[in-house]
Amino acid sequence: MENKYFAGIDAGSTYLKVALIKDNEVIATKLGNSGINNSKTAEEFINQLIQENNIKRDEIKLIFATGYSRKIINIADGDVSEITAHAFGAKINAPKGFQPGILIDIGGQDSKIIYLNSNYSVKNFTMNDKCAAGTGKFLETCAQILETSIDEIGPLSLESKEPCNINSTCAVFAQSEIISLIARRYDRKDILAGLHISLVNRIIKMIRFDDFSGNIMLSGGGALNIAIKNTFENELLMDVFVANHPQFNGAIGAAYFAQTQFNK
Amino acid sequence: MEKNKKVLDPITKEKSREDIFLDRYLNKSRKIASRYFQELDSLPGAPKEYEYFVNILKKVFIENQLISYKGNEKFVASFCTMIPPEIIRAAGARPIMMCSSSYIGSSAFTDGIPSSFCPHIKAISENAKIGLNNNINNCDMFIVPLSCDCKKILAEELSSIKPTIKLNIPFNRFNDDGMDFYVKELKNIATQISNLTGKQITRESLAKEIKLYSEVQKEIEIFNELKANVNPLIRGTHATIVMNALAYDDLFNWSIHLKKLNEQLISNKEKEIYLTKKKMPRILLLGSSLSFPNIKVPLIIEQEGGIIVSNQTCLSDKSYDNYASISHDSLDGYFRGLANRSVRPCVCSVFPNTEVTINKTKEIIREKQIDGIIYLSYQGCITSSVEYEILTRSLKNEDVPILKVETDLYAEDIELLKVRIGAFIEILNFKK
Amino acid sequence: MKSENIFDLEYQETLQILRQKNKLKEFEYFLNLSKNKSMYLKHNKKPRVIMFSHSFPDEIVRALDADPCYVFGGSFSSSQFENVFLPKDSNDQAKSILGILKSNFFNLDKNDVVLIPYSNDNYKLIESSIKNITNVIGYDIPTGNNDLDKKRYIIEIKRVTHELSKIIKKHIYHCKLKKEFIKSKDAALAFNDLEDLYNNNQSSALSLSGYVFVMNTYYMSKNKKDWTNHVIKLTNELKIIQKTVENPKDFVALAGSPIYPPNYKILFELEELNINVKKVFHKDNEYILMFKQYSDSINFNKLAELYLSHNMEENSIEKLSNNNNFKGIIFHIVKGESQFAYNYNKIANKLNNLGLPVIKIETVYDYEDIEQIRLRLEAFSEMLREKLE
Repeated sequence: MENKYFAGIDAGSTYLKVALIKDNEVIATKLGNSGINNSKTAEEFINQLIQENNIKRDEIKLIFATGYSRKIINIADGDVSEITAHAFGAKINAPKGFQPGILIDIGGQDSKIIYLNSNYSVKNFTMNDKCAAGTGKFLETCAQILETSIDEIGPLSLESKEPCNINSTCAVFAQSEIISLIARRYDRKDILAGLHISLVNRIIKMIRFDDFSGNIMLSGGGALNIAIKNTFENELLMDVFVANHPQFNGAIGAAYFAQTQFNK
Repeated sequence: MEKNKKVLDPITKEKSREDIFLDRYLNKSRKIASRYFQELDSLPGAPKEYEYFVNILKKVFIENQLISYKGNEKFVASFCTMIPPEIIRAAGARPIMMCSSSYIGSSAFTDGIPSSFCPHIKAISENAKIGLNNNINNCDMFIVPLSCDCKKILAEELSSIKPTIKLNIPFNRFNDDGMDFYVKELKNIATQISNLTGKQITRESLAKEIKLYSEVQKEIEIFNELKANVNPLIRGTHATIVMNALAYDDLFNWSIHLKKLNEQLISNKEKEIYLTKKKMPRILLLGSSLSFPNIKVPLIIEQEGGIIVSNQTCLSDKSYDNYASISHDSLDGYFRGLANRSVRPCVCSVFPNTEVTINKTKEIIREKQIDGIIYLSYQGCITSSVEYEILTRSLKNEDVPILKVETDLYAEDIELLKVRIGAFIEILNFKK
Repeated sequence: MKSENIFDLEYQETLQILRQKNKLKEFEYFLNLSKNKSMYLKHNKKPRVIMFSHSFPDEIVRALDADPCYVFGGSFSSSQFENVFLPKDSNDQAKSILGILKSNFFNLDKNDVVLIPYSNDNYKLIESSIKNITNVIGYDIPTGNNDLDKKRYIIEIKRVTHELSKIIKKHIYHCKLKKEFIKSKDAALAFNDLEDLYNNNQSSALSLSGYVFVMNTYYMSKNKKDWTNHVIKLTNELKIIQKTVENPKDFVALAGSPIYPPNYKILFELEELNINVKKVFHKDNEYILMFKQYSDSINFNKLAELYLSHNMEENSIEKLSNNNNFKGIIFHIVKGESQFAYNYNKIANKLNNLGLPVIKIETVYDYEDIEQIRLRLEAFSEMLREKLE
């Protein structure tokens, strides 16, 4: 029985992600900087995956791309929009017990809210790609000012007992606000906790809860931050799920889409 | 998340998720209100009678109590001076002003309203839907004048919670046809409230209310003059609280205490007991509504060294300036007099004829020797931005600087405001 | 002035694209109606009566022998003209209207009359900006549809007519008014045929933007009879060329803020992506077609009923949710047009529960956000494909 693999490429603004699936299971993933030539980077990653997993190139039946640069990836056989890709990805990337409701993707330079039907098809969606508030960029710039890294801000902020009130959701003005808070001797962890609350509230503002059923799931780079998950739970007073491979949801979805196209 | 409308019962064994959320909401709004009460209490120079007014607001915002003086009282929530309170009172109900609202910004309850909207609409909608404010909860009906785009949408939102009367405002107010229709609308409101209370309006009852109201207006006029005294007798912030308490209190009881306050201030004036003898810039506060707990702007003005001599915002002086002139001693004549009073001299920015506002502002500048004007507007309110532009152009010859303060209901942009208002007051000081 | 050249260029570009997409003999007439901005210029010394909403019957203006001049905005460059003052919260359409009114080519002066309905905050603000330049008549529009509101509307219309005739020094004659209403009825019937042909055929030689443009030109034409005749000719030409596949299966509807030339970026984008839009909910076609049922006698009561019921927003929401022939809805909202944004919020869930994909495109007149619009529309067309499979 020949092996049928499918690959998905998520050519995002900050990182390029590739995923390899077979029979609805994620086999391998790869992540790296997009670089200047997305197409070349994508091809390199695919080749690396082939070597590392001991498979032949013709066992990968279809490759689909998604993300900002999806139309210029030469190695891809087709492309699909990020919204559809994420919805498809949610189907095989969701943790056990998740009932399709809402998928919140917190990316480097945009955030998406996708409302899913019970069969994971897209019911409606909202995107914020015009403003840095509510995206990974917000936390990245703040982490820089506070002289810490994006990996550490989550655990650090969880230690806070009394989060500060951060008023600007604007990424640029938040920077000056942080500096004034530091001058007023506020603790770094309290400031970080306040920043997380500000980010989460900005995203919650985009969500429409009328007639909401099911669960909420986070994906994207932001979902790796445990404090973001906690803050969502505190602000919404409900359990929040995190995708199994959060950063690769788009790539997995593109690969799964490729699989459905092949099986037609 | 279901919209829970019952008042919280503190003795529950197990709190549901909604109850926890509502608890958190109540605590947060109480925290904000207490903070402002603390700041107010720490200001020196409050006259003794002021206590009554601040206690009314404390009962509403901290203890969440209904201010009621007799059992089985019927309440009607209304807005603006465009709806004459005399009519509501004569029909047997008590009016509560809905613009006094605090705003937590919980998106769960402002779902349908686009985010670029006037924050008042979001706040009022949130307050009404969340069902926690006992004063609004106990209202049987809402009356909303459709004066601007945002109010139209507010009326639609509120109509899904309680019976709402939508009032069409004649923007062509100097035209007699428009006023004719407005009289019919007011009569319609009177009928609907009478159906609620079972009490019909008669010529005598309406005459009595108009007389009472005009007496209260006289006291307010005396209060306004005392506020604008050459040497300050009462802080502008305290005066705002006094006027704001009328939104929740009964008119008659409130006026008794205002009378006592006036007597105290007059006696202080005769004994030359002033707050300060220093000459500080005299400020006129104009623009959108200013209500507790969002009193940060008057607080900052006084901290930076200005005196608020006149407060022409919605819940303060400008709503009580005009007396009803009755030309015919009949029920219809009373309605016409009230309709005229509520629309024609109204200085709200929603009206396209701005001469009324400009003339009134010029008179106040002259009468109360105003040094500077601070114009308060909210993000999303188009009409107030344009009114500011028009005022700036028309008041060029008056040589009175105007500062526009654009803020939101709850945003803690206090530092930014301090910078602007502080600089403005410095300019006024240099001019002297 | 430099900025007016940009306005000309914007308009010419749109007309060029329209010409390319609609290679029909009869389409040229419609393109010429807006050539050289002729709909905005003064014509043979007739007084201009300027309107920017549909709430006043233009038949009255024509019966007074005056020139109704509709300014609906629709241009990015006109909203950038230097002497426009409107706060940043107000929407692009209002800014665009004010830009056109104050431009040099429009030549607004004391011989013109501007009719301003007080139904919208932005319109009231336009008044304060042009009060000193020209004659302004403001009128109230009631928001409901009951008897008191109808009486109010009739009195306001009659008052405006009276003031208008005083300013332009003309009388209104009953027989002339009757003739104008008959012309409107004929136009409504002709346009109805065209719309039926467009809605019910799978592919059409008339593109989406062409169809919307014909609709928009109703308010540009100075001679309604001419316009009606050309619509009939166009319909006949299409009947001959058309591929007669009945009842398109996979079409979507377009609703929300009305689209006016020259800013057709949404329409052109929809055509590029081959999204089949057949039903267009637009203020223009609602008001054109409502004369279908008008009888030949003048009846102000009936007139009030027609105009007020189309003014009410609840009715437009009703129409959207009752009509289930389409497979999805695209809601286009110009930023700042609050009523449409609110309507969308109310209706989106209802429609989602009926299984209809709904998408909201919020945009400004600027062309810079075209990539973001494209992304959303592509996602929407994928949602549609999913659903149909």
